[in-house]
Amino acid sequence: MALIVCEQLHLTYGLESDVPIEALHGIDLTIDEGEFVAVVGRNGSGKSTLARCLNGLLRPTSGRVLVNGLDTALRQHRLTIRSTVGMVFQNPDNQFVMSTVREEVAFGPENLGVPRPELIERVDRALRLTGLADLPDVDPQHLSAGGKSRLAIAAMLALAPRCLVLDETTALMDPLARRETLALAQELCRQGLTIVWVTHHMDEVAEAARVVALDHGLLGYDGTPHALFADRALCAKLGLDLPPAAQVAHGLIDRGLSLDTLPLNAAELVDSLARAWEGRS
Amino acid sequence: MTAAIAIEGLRHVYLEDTPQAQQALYNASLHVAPAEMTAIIGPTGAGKSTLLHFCNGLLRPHERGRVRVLDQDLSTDVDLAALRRNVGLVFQYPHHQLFERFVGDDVAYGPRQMGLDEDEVEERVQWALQAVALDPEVFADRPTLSLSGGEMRRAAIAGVLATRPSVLILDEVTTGLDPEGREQIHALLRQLNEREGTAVLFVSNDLDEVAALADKAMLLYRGYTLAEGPVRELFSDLPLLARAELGAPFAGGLAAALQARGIALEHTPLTAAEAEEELWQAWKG
Repeated sequence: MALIVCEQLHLTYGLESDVPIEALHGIDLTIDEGEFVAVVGRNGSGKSTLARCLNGLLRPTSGRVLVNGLDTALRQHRLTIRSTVGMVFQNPDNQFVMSTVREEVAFGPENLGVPRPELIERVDRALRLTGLADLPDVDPQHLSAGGKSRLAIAAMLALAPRCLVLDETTALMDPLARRETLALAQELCRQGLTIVWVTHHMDEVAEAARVVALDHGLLGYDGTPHALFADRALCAKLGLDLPPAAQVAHGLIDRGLSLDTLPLNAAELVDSLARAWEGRS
Repeated sequence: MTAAIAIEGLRHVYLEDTPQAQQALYNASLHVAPAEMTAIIGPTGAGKSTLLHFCNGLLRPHERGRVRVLDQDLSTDVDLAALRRNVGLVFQYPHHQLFERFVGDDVAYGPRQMGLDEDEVEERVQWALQAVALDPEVFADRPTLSLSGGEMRRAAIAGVLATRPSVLILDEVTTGLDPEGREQIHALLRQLNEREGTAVLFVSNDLDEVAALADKAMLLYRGYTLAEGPVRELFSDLPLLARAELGAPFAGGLAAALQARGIALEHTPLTAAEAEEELWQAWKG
């Protein structure tokens, strides 16, 4: 079932200024409930703009965005839409306002007037899902980078969203925190949450079921990561790298070592090479 | 000049003698030679950014270790303004260092502060914007706030380049840049390093980037320097990287996983390209 629908979505910044900047030029995109969608593209291709359109932080210059059937341009839907589609940014420090983890997670739903028993239940569930259940009294500023992103995600989960949009959330993280955050998003997706994951890391893209690539404000690709990374000319056109495993595999295939599949991560590459070696002996 | 940067036994406590005191560095050392690309690696909270702030005098050593930058002892009364003209620092969050309304003026700020005449300033702005692949025709007159995240990072780097520092320090060198932008910045850093002898020191969370770019690396963990040396040497010690909570770089991890499946490579590869070559050699037998 469609959760988010963009119809001929155009967005132009600074319409009244001398130099209006057209960020999105007519995007048609449907995201179904429960999908894991990676969004990629060059700097300035419109990724963050698109992300901000998905929960009405930005309203279309023309065209429309429907969230669960509600038009994001209409003021009366705004609160419903913001709690249906939650945003997590690159620097979670910017979105923390309270002095303990538990208060931070309770802040959103409390402000929306969620009744107390349900509030407690939601906060507990959000803390549990994000692995923060043991740290309710910690000051958010004292968490590690991975911990802060988990808290930002927990705060959104407490609003009982159906979709999370993560805009380069892992950009400043160390490798461990990056893997941890991606694994959490994947787990939440398995439990039914829709995930929109904006990134420049191709190894993360390889983990998504669907990739949407933006190209100068237009849709440049919409499909599986596998078909995308199999098409090197398309990747070059869209300004995308190959994940390192796919890069090695393409190189070996070019030299004449045939592999049965195109691997996208190290584990797949090892399996595929092991089969090639077995087949030879 | 023996070393661009030499740090020994450095210790630092934030908000010392207050209830909020937080120790960031216990025993850190770092050596950056003029002709080298040096990376600092380590998990979040290791003290990487703190260490960088000592390198251009934003933090000063107080009898807890030695910091020498461009042959000046920073515990003494040095000319900080002159030091910072020679030691350029690109911060982790580019919007912390962009403050002019237009991109061109922002990049011009450093050269203007150096008292250069307007022709020279203009020349440097053009050069620096081109160096980071922001077309001056398009970007010089763009409002700083209209830039995307990746464009802001490029503009921040351009602003530091325009002062032509002899030591260039970058905190999170290419975070938020697209693959092409990353490659452009890598090429630019190599060129500055090889042709102009600029010493380059950078922090990166991406081990594959460090493998591709740096000659030497220093591994910082909880305020201690655990290891310092050639990247190839450091990255062949996977147990050490794991102990520092960093995981394995792609190529090294791949070689170890292949070994476990009975496919041995002659040399441990450092990059994906080397892994491909090693695998091809092993396949041909």
